[in-house]
Amino acid sequence: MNALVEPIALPDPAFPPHARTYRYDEVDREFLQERIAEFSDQIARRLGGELTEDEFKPLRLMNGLYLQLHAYMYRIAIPYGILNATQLRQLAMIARRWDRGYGHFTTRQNIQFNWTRLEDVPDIMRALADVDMHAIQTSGNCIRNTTTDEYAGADPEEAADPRIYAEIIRQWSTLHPEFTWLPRKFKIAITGAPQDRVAMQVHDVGLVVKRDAAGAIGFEVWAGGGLGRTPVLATKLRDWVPEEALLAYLEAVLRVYNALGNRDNIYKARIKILVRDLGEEFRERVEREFARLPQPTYRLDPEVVADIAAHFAPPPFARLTDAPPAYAAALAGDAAFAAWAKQSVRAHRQPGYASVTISLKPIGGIPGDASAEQMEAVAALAERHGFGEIRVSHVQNLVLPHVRQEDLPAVWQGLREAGLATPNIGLVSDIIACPGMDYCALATARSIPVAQMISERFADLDRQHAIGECFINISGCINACGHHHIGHIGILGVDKRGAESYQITLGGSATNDAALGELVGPGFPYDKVTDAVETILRTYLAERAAGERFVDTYRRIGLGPFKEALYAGA
Amino acid sequence: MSSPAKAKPATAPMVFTANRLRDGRVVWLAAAGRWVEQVAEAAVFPPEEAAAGLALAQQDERAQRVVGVYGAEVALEAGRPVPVKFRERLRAQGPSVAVAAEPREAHAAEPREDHAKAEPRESHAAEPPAYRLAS
Ligand code: HEM
Ligand code: SF4
Repeated sequence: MNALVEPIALPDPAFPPHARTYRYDEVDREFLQERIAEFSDQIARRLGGELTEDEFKPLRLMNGLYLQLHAYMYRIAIPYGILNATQLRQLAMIARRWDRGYGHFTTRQNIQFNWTRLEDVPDIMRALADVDMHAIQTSGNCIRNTTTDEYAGADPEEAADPRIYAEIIRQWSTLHPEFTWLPRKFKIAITGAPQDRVAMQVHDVGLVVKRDAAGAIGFEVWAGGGLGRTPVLATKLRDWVPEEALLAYLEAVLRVYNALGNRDNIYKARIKILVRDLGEEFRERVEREFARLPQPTYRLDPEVVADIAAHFAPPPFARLTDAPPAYAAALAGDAAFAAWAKQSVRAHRQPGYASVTISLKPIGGIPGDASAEQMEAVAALAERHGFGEIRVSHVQNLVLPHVRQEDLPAVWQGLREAGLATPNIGLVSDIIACPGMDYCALATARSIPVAQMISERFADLDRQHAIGECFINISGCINACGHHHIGHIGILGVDKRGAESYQITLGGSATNDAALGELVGPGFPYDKVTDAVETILRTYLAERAAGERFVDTYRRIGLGPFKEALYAGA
Repeated sequence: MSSPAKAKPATAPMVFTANRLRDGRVVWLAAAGRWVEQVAEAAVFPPEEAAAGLALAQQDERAQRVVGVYGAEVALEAGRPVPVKFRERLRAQGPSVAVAAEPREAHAAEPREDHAKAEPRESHAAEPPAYRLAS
């Protein structure tokens, strides 16, 4: 068991008797060293021919190591998307030394290396452990890394800091003896802001941290969301679970799932199928289980919360005022800077500060990829201007959460020099794309080059601004790693008699108004999909009413006009 | 990794591919039971010998030299095998998008594939700009 609740059935010496924090303590480090020794030994036995692939596969998947189309792929955990500069530098070093000089940031706020050699993995694990990183909970049927808001602790509207609870969930779920072999993987997302930036409704469990009138903390709990071949939006189970009951309630949800989830059919194994099939009964069963659990055992002690919260205390902000002269002058004097600031700079709760979103979507580039040099440039900027902190967003960008407004021109210059200042955050070229067939063994079509073609077609910034907010999401197969169901424009690559074909959905949304996109019609071949996107956007521009975003126009006019424009001549 | 080609009796000439155990790199079964990195050097098995080819390849899987053996249909172009399916063509060429070269530091002495050093190959509209800084 873990620190936050008293051990019940299965005490385990690996779990410490006290709360761990996100800055790893000795117990975490010891555990990590044990895991490295264990997996290194397993790798040695595999390389020595003692273990077959059938025996080795579940072991490597417990350690984040996949076998992909061209090579092994190593997925490294970035718990709730937070990195410090030292860690990012180490990732750059790993990219350069043991991979091909770059990494791919994913929609689950992790990073993947695409060219890992099995024989190098023990060295990579040790290099990761040197900076308190690892690849645990990045694969397998366990509770995966909890994802959260990339602006946590900086967002002016946030009710409470979701990182505290993400860390509590990490401690509770890491190697939870009951939940290491769930029917299927289990993904939790948590937001503390009224604006959902974590796609909460398409997660197995989605949590919203809230405060009541008296300022006490509680959680809205959603369950049963998911993408993949059967996309389902989550169902709200509870409007309010008091803070101290969070783990008891999660435990209840997981127990019901663990007991009733389908283990025979992989396609029916996710909690979304159970919630969908059981309907109201799922909630009732969770409530019964919740009532049955020994509450004191699972009580989340306020002292433990306070202890963990202390690690997420705000950095030592200076007392500043908003819109300092240096920033105002740069905005007025430099159109390129102003264009970047408009998309990339975000209001901060602390006067005189801002959050900066760094686009990993250069025109014609690979969404989410960063070279070792770029990682180092971001690490240096974070150190110089942002308390050494970096976040990974679920749209595959990076964030410097706490930057002085007066430093913004310097940050922009630094990003420009690193090729990281594309001013396209939230615009049509800020595309989510999974690795697709260029890397992924499961793919039915490529996704990266489709993203590249679309971003090149809409490279003109004025045009992107004219189109306004529009999210294009691309997946290379029905597993939906590229979130296509919830893109304003979703693109799914399939195999149609040996050729790549792309199905387009419209009207999806990943935020508070979450929606699954609707299929617009028959798919388009690889060399026609960019034209199709252009037709869709032209139709929107022709139809839109004042102030509408793409998705607003779509909701008002429906599929009809888009279908007509796309297929009229067909 | 699986492929439909594994299950069905072959109707076209076949080659056999796998990932090399120690580093995961894509390899192809060649003459004399060697594994090579270029599909052009792969041994081509006529349909009626495909089962024997698969058995040969699987021996090395059992010997833990390679992993994920499967067969891919090929056509012969200028006497050289070229995979028929797009997936295996990508597997043979490497990603269709820009990829940096193998690292120099750690494995300088080892032979490496040159496929990934090449420019992007596929036919998408324009070549992606070289956005990586110093690769
Ligand atoms: C390249 C190796 C990858 C493999 C083999 C893989 C495999 C899968 C599979 C099988 C599913 C479907 C799960 C289900 O429906 O039960 C899935 C879903 C998903 N994966 Fe991946 N994936 C890969 C890469 C990625 C990447 C790069 C990302 C992030 C960009 C990602 C994020 C997700 C997300 C967000 C989902 C959908 C959410 C859900 O689980 O319902 N995966 N993946
Ligand atoms: S959506 Fe399919 S192609 Fe894309 S990464 Fe996921 S499994 Fe691979």
